[in-house]
Amino acid sequence: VIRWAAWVVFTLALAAAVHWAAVAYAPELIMSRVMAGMSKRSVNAIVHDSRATAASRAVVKPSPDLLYSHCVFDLTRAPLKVTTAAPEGTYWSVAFYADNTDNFFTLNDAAAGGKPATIVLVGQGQVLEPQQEGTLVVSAPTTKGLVLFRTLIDSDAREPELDRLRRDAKCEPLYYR
Amino acid sequence: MRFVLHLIGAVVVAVILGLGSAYYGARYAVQGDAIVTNGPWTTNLATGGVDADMYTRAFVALTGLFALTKNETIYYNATEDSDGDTFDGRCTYRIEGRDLDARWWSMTVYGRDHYLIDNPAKRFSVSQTSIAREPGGSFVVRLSTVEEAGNWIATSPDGFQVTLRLYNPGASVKEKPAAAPLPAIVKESCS
Repeated sequence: VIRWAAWVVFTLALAAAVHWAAVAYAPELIMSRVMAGMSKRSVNAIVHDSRATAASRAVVKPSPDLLYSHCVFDLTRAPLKVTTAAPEGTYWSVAFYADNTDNFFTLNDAAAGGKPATIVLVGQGQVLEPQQEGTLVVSAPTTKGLVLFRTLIDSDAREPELDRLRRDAKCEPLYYR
Repeated sequence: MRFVLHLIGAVVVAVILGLGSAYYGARYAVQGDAIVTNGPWTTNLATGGVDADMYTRAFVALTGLFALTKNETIYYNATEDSDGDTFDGRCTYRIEGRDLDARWWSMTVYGRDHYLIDNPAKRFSVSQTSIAREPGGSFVVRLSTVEEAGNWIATSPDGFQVTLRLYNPGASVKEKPAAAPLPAIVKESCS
């Protein structure tokens, strides 16, 4: 009886460890898989995704009413400079995600006063030279992550114009000379 | 030999129990106080936030990766109608409501796999700017597998869910997400 009880305790303890590990590491695992797929195209550079359809399978629950652009970032070598586009008369935002899914910073058109914004993303321990006035400096909690740009398609007729305007956005490493 | 067999059996059972309970925990046992129910709609106010616990993070990674925080967008999700019955892909539903308290809102139907449902008309959603309203300002949206006139979103016979996005939600939603006026979902008929 004692031997069986020991096996039951061992099995339950192991199950608890597996449970904890799966829940704790699932976000990083899923994020790293999604980012690996996205970064095949580029890292620290903006990619403009097509409007979502039933064939869009990269990320769950895409909105068919938004134009998404994304930038997988890796701050290992340098901070990241992000410049937004600013299409008039519609909602837009730029959201920063850590590699554990946390949305640690977001800026939308209203907060930016409807104008293009420049955001410098700094990694832990990175020292930044003084930036131009008006530049927002944001500290990244993780070295890798994702910047997601959203542009609302307020009418189907306006989609081509918004698709053109959103391409003013940039994402580039901030190297010093 | 018997010891090795017992060890293998224990590991297999532990992995099944551990992964199964982890999946269940991520889907259903997320931060209790952050879960808000409003009629058939449910939202998790911790989504995307830096103060989310590990279950909420796992839940977001599985069902809504790259969601925004509640200050930017509140996401309500429905998997059942206003009578509490789980959506049936063989039935037609009517969503009735008025404009929502947000800068912009949309209602999107997803399959049980969390992706958009393929349909020839490409009708995946309705929004504040695309919806046709009744003379008094209210709206009616029909959900079914067969295309209908007026506001209509395609569903799947395999089941579906509806996500309501409220971009820059107003005070009534942010302060009282459980009481904010949200659309009702009524089952009309089943084939």
